[in-house]
Amino acid sequence: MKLQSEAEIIPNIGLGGLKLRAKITDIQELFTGLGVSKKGSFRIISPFEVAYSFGEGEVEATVDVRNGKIFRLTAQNGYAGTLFDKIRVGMKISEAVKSDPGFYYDESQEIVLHKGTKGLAIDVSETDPPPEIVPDLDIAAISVYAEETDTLRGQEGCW
Amino acid sequence: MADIAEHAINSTDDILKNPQLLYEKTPYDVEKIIGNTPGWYVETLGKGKHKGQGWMLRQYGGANGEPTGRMIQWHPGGGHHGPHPYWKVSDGKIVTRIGPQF
Repeated sequence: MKLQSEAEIIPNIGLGGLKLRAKITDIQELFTGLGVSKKGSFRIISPFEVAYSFGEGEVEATVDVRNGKIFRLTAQNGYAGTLFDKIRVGMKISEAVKSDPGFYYDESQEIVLHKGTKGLAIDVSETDPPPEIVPDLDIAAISVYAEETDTLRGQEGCW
Repeated sequence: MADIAEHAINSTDDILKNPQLLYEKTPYDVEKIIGNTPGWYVETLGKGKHKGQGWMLRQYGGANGEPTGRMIQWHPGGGHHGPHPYWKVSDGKIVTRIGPQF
């Protein structure tokens, strides 16, 4: 299996040629040697989450250690694929909103979401910005995640 | 003042109605009082630049157990609002930030 940093970004499904809900035991070849014989790194980011960063960090896969499944995939700087055929990492939020008015900023979660689309979260290039400056910010990362993890059962690891 | 505020927090509703009650509180203080509130779950920031960091008590509800939009969050800071942590409360509509920097 090879990562594809130009692959389409599909909410609730996957990106980079990786699929959400995949078990890392089924794609172990991507992870073995990471940070030693393969470019990349990995780190524990919370008690139940490990993030694996591939290559120069253009793709990150986050795994729920309770079931070994990928629940979030993130496209970061260097990722060439698009969301909805037009939204890319690095473009201005205002451009994204202009091309698709369904995008909106959720101040409580400090991410850009899309009306009617589940399993999608767009990071902006500033931490917890006030809504009025968000249009001038860049898209820092585009994450897709398994929608069932954004529920109480999902938070408890039952997904 | 701190004692009065501590006694004033008995439920998540108290905080949603008056987020200022969180002033000078730590996540430890808050979790021991309301961390086991039914329908609410203790987690870290789940999305955004600080995913996996901080502390958050978030309400889930409805038929599918989805987030209601209500949350009480201890944000690690380090961005637009300065380097120090602060509280952030959402009642589902209005977001309020609490800390010395506000």
